[in-house]
Amino acid sequence: MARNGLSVVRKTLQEYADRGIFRGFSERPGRSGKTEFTFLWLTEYPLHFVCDARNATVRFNDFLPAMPVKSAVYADLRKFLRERVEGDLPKHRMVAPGRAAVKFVNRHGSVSLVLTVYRNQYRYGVKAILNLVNEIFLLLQRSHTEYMWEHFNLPQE
Amino acid sequence: MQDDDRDSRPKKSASVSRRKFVRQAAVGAGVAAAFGKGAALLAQDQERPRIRIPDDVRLRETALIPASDFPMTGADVFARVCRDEGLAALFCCPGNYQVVNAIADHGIPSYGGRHEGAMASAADAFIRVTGEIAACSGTEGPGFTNMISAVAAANAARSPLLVLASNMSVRGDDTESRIQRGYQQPTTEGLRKYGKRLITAARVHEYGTYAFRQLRAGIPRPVHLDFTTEVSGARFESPAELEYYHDKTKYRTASRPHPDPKDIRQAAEMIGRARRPIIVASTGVFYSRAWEALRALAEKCQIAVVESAPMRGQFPDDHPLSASTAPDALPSADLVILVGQYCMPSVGEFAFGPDARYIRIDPDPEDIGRNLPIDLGIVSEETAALEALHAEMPAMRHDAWVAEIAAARGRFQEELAELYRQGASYRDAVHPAVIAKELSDFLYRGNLPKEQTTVVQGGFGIARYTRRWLRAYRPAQIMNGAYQYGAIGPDVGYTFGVGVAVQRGVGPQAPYRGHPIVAITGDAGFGYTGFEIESLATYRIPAIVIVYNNNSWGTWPGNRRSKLVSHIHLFQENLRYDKVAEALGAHGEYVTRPEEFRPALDRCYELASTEHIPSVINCQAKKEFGIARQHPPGFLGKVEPGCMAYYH
Repeated sequence: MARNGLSVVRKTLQEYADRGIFRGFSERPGRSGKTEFTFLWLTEYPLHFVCDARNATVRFNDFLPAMPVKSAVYADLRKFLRERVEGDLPKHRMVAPGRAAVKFVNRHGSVSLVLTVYRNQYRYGVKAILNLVNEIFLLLQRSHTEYMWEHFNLPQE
Repeated sequence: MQDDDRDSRPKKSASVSRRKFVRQAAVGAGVAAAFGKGAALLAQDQERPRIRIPDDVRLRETALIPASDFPMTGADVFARVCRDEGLAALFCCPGNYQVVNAIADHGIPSYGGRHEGAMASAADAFIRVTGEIAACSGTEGPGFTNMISAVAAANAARSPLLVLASNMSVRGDDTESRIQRGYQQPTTEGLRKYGKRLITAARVHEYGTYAFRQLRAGIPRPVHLDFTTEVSGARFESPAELEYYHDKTKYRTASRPHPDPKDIRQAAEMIGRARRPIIVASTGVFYSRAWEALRALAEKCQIAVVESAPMRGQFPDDHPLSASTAPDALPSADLVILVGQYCMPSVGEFAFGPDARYIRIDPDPEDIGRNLPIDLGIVSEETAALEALHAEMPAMRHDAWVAEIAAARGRFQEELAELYRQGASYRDAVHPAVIAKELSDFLYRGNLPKEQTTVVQGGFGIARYTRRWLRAYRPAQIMNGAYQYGAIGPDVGYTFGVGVAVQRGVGPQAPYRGHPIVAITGDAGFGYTGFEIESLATYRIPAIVIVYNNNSWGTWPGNRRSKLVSHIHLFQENLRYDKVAEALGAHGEYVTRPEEFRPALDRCYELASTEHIPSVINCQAKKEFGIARQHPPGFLGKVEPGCMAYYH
């Protein structure tokens, strides 16, 4: 089952690369049976996507730097994620509780987004976490421009 | 000439009158004798000559247009091409005399200003709100190089700008004989679509036609011609002395690329499968005047529309299908149809999600697929493609999608209300949210028809606010100044061009002819082209220029932490741009508290409406408004496409 999960994840990500959404798409074995995919997407910095099929999780590892747990920007992100699980949004913008669970992990200000896949729904999980990351960067560009200037080299102009 | 006498205008508020200013200064000194000195100065001032508009400025409108017959100079021949091609306006400074004089003498509306760069920006802005071709001109050497930044901005915005300059003589090439020598064409390399130094007199008509063929076909961009004296001063006794002297039906075609029916069928299938389709209406929709075709298709199939272009209003913001003020809805789109998006974003720059599919409609096959991968490319002029899709598609409904957009629009309005609540809480200076909200109320929810006023959206930090509040209800109601090239300096130059377009009622501005316009800029932007207030006053262009004066460049918040650096981003505080305006023949208002803004706007609009006098409203803010932690909401971010967009 774990191997099947990885192949679904790999195939799903590869589709985005084939469509030109991801650039520089690559894969390498990670620790403890995990698999790490690296690609360029929303900024000029590579994203690291880790599939841990044994624990049924996919995650964007350390994709947001320098974000203390008590910062306003992190509070906004957590609010955003709550709305995607509990909020009153259209179905296609939500993470379906029966299909996946999602959370942030903040280690010393370095933030990862972790999604646990239920009932082997890896394709759904990959698409859900990608759409979440897209919206997270939109939120940062819209409401936390200084953070984006400082940590993602976005133009001040 | 009493009409043009600046002192004939109504007296403005006593709080900012010169008399009161002098009196207050004297009282402040605490010396009775000083008051007497101030009064004496005032008396002396009243005896001095008043600002006065020369008679010739007014008389130009009724002057007889000379006959355009052989014998003609090379400049005359070129000017005749310009006239026959419908060149809509010329903005220039002295220099390139033979060409400029010939163009003006052929009855093409011509305007002089104070800086060639600002005049080139004026021409660019005129184009962006009319869709017509305009020209700018400067002398060889410095006059030409002064235009370069504006040409670059026009190139980035895909404006069909005709750039003209004189360039000495062929026989003086490679010398430093006399002055102002320079090779012009290499300088505009990469900033134009076509350029030519004219050196063969007999081909002057031919190269004029080259220019207009380029300007009127395909993706518009600037065309640069520089004239040697051998060409502009050449004398032709008859057309027989000219090569390639043909009517425009012989040297260019009005035919446009139409879509392949196979592509239209495929697009129709994709639209038919989509649950949340959206059209991004951009530059090409405007230049092909495709707004009716756009609306017909959108309404027939309930396709949402969001704008992103150097001008706004191709699809009205208050239409239920408009997503331009519904940024939260954009990531939901599952099919994106880019129509005339000449300036292409890369992946991640538009808000659409990773699963969105893309159709791109563009007249230029060489550009389709650049930056943003496509699922279908359609080579076509925009109107033709939209009409073909309309004919191919059955009527469709996407009610849930329309409801989602309406909800997102509502959330955006709630966000604006919160921004205004925060901004209005600052009482010691004028916050940008106050300017944006109250200007919006004045333009769209007061006594004016909401589609009436054309707005120049300039500035930097202030623009992040005003873009959110300004609305477009008809084509080219908003001129998006900083689009793509990001220049903030041209704003008052842009204002001149937009003002001329509206005063003359050119293109989509025709129904609003003669009405005042509003421009937004900052203190940084005003520093570059503020002297064009004089040009506005000279030609009686009724523009209200709102200057957001936060004592700094908008870049200060991001560079404030080091004292070795911070000062680079600062100006003297509380500068009086309103007094600069008064000194240049316009009206000035200095607004230091939030409640003063709206009355000042009312006064300026009254002056603009009744006497065609331009104004500057100097809104005193403070640089700390850009720091979110100290003065929330701080410098705002943006989402593209939509009302906040200016990168693409």
